[in-house]
Amino acid sequence: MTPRHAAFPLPTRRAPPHMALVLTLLALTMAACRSRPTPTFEPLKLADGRVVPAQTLSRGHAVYTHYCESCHGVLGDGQGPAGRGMRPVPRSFRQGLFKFGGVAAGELPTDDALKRTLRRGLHGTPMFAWDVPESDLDAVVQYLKTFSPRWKEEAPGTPLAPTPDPWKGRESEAVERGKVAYHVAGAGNAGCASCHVAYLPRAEWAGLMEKALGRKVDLSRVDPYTAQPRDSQHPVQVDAKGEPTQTQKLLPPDFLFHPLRTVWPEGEKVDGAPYTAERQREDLYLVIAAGVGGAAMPTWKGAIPEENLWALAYYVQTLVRLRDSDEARALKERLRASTAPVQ
Amino acid sequence: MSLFSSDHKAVARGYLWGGLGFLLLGGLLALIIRWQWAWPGQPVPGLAWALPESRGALTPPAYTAVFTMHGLIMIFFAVTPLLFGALGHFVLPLAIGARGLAFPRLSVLGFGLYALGGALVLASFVVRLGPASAGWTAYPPLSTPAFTPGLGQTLVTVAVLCAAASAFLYGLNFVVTVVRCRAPGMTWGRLPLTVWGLFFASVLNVLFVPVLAAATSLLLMDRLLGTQFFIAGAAAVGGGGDPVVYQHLFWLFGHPEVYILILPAWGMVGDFVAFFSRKPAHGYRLTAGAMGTVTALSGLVYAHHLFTSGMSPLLGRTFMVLTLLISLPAEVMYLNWLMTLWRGSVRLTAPMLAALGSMGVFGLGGITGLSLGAVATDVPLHGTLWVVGHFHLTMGAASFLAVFAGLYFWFPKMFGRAMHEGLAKAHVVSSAVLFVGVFGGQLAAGYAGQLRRLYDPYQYTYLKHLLPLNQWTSACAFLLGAAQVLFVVNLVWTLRRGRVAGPNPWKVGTLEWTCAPSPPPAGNYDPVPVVLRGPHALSQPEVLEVLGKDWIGQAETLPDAAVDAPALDDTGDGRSLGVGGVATSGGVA
Repeated sequence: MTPRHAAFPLPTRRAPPHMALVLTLLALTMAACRSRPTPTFEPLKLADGRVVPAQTLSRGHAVYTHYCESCHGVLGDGQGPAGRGMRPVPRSFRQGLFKFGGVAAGELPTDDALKRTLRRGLHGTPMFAWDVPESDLDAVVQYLKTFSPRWKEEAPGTPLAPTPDPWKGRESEAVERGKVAYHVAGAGNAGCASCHVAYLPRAEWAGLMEKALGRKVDLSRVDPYTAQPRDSQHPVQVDAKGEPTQTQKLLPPDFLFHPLRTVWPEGEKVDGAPYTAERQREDLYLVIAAGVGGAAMPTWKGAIPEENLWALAYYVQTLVRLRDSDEARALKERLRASTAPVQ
Repeated sequence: MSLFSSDHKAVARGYLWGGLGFLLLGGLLALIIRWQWAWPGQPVPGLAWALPESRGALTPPAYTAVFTMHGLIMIFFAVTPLLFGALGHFVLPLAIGARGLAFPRLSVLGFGLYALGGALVLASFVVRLGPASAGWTAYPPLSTPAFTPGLGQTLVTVAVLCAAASAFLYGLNFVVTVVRCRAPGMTWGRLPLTVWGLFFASVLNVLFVPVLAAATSLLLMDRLLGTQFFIAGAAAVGGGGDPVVYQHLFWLFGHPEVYILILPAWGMVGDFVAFFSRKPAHGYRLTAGAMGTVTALSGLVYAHHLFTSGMSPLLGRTFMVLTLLISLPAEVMYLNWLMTLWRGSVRLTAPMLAALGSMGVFGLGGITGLSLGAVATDVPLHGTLWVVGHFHLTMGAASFLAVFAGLYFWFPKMFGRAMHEGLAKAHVVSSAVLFVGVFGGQLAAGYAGQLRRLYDPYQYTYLKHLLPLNQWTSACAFLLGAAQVLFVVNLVWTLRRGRVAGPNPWKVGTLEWTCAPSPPPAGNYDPVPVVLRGPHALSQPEVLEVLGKDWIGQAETLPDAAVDAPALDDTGDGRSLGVGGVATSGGVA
């Protein structure tokens, strides 16, 4: 290889030809600055008299973009790109309709209930506990009220706080009563088994009905062990304006197999504290009392005696404890085999 | 020398300060990640001003931004600029006996682009919705407006484009400089290994950085102009594009980038083990050839990053074989280093310790990488901290230690002052040991199944027991951060009142040490030296005999052998003729 002579930094005459490159980059930078405009907000006047300042909404928008938008969508219609195909569907905030509002089903939820869902997430769904800082929690809760006009027209419902547990120390008694309230309709009982599945063999169930109602019931032609999907108001598809064009059918949960959205297995850590049997019962009570907004589950508070509400919580808890166990599968087998109804 | 001086040494200094600044920033971001994994959701001390809503605790969006920016800053704005921008710009022309780079003004433009990119990165921290948060690889759809609508992601994408343009420019500059501007007598076989490493890496820069620029430009168009190259599924309108194409483009650049970051380090290690063993580098040609083979293969292995992307199994097998093949030349080179050390008169100076540390962590990183190159073992390890530990050992720790080996080695030449040896040794040894602690901990956690990038790994029951391990790893990381104070103190102290270094404190023979004062003047050499021998003429018996020292400059004539070489001075007409005479007579005889 022939050695070559060293280069000298020679001065050149023309303007640098790489100016074009710099200009292109500058143009791109400028374009970047107008990628998506920051929305501006007017103070939001809520129906309960509170006014949310524009600053809170602006912060809430940022928090929403970080935590919520990919599933719940820019328009709050539950149609975010990551939420497509999710079942249950991500909530559409445009309906002003919430499943677990802590108020009578269908009413607007309290801020506390919304924050509670954000802090705890919804069990068994991609709605996790997102660790949103406390002050941002309020901002984003206020922000999602901008999606539905309902918030400007209607005040949130009265929160249904749990009453004192009347069955304290009498657990087995409560479970027995709950079993009746669950499987029998009428006479102060809820008759949950008519939507959710029944957990008693046909013979035992018929006996229970006869005892409670004083007459024989023919169960030979029903299939009480397979749940049927029920209508709901939760949109799977929306049109360009965000109006639902197709709603989802919901399966009432089978407590032996489905995770409940607001109820965790005992012993887990929920909202920073261990999840005790008592907390679990309280959460069951709340959903039974309030119902599930937009779904077929009605508000039971006031419809049946308070002690039956609590008894149902006790009874359902015994089923929840069996969830996904061999015992649950054995029970299911037993139930399905009980084809010989009372004549 | 002003900021806009086109002297390669001034440009190098610009990159040095910029790179060190970003190294500090990237390192602090790494410590914040480590804090989160040791004490998830707890307020980070001293961060309350930045995250007032959570009183300094990392929120999930802040966490994704932090790990994204750590990776981007370290690769594009710290380690690459330090290796090429600082050490490359400074050493390369000096080591080949050139008076400067082939295109001095291009190097200034490159630095300007790097500075612009750096400014955009810094700016992205203060815009609404925060900086980039789609991971350093910026895979779509995460990096599309559907998931990262903020301005920060766009700014950082432009910044990466700037860094890429800058890398392309200095790559081109280095290649042309090495090919065209070597001093007389500086044949390819006489180049220091550092120059070989920088040269090969520059070739890779020229070939593959444009691929990154293309991928990034397409991504920017998706973000800004409404195109759908990488947008698919629910976010797409009409047919959409294909996000996996981006992964292929990215790694077609990304894997060579790993070698871009390690080749200069290999070169320096090769030189330093020779210099400080006082021996010629064992198998010099084989080492340079091995680096060349790695360079040639580096573009053919990239898809081992995509084994789990749904790629054809046939391609997977092909890339597996190519990937495992590339470890062979690396092993040849490694064995040559060991052979150089073998029975050498090893001097454990700070650069040597750093080079040995670099060798050690690179060896560990290389071995742990084999399991990622084979499809069967990659599938379960993909996306775990095992990967993170592996690539941090190779292109993080090994490159970092090589940067500091180079910095401690050439600092006297750059600034005319020698750094404090004791502090420097403490710095590199503690760093090397703690690197193994940090990345070894990550390897262990990854082997136990901890996925990378998890905000709170302990939400998963099967990872709960890893908390103590991660806390120990984080403790090592904080100590590693603290150890860098040794360097900062040393740097400040040396620049103020460090010992003035002579032209050749390390007693080695390469041109920058033997033919130029410390620091070298503008234009480097006057006259340009005529090179007579290779870079590692150490402990040569005839030199010892004639000169009484164990090294000789690449352009230094041995008095006895003077007749064999063309002389530098004007008085040497007779000798110059003598060369021809000797050659002729030899031919006749």
